[in-house]
Amino acid sequence: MQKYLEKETASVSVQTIECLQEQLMDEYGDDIVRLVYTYVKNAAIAEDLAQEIFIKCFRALPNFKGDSSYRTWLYKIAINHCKDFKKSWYAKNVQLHDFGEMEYMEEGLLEEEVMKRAEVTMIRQAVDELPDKLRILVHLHYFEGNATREIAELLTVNENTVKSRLRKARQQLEKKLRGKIAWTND
Amino acid sequence: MDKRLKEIGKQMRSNNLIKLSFSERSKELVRKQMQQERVLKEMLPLLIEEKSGAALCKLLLAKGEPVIEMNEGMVYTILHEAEHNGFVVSRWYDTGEKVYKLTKAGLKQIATVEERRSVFDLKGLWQEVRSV
Repeated sequence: MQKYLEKETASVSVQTIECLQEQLMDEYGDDIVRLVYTYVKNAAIAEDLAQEIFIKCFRALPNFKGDSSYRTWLYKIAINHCKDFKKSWYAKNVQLHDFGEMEYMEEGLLEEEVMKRAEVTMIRQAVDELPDKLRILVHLHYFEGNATREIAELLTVNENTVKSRLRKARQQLEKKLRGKIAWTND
Repeated sequence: MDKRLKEIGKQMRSNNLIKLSFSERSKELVRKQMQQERVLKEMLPLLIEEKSGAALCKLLLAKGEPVIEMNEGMVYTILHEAEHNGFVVSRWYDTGEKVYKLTKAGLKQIATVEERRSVFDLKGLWQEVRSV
């Protein structure tokens, strides 16, 4: 991935660009769908939006200067696209929430796993119920493993804002889940 | 809480818990869209003078457009869409040949694509179009 950064994207061959596009979709496709899902809470719409996001990115690819990583760049475009979608007529007038129907893999679960799954479902639902601003942070930080500094860059907000929002998110989650889940140590 | 949330994230990433992925069908859709846009970009400047679909295919092939070799039908799909969007107009000759020609909107479309590189002499091109 890194080796493409040095090149002038505008002047490289069709094959190189297509190859780069393939790599980007393979490497970040699933991540983008999950990120979009955090915003729209609907798997089908998440995938449709992810397609639009990649098309948007690839159109802009010749302009990519390489002053951030491809990942940061993709995420930024994705986040803006999601925000635009949430503001659109469609999102406001069509009921999107389907987090009750999350698809789970069914094959061969042990009892222990079933228990764990129930717990995870509960936490997931609590996260889904958080307000947009907090939910996206939980996703980026805990589920995707981004550092607070990276998130601040992605969302163009202050790092301290990220930290305080994360704290707020944790407090809300704990309040929601109190009594439902046995917290072991934290 | 911290630990618990991170754990869920790990499970999500390893993708054995929740099925949310960018499917092959989606990738194919994006691929196709990008190919069509690229061919359209190549195609429009060639239609400053009116041309038949067959002549256009030959030119694109000569330019080394890789997609055309496998799928000439794609050129017509793109032409029809371009006509629908008002980038080109078509007319029939008495000989039964259909020819396509760039419109003013089509020229604008070229300009928006080329804008970034700013090597395109829009004025010159427009004069050329008018003189044909």
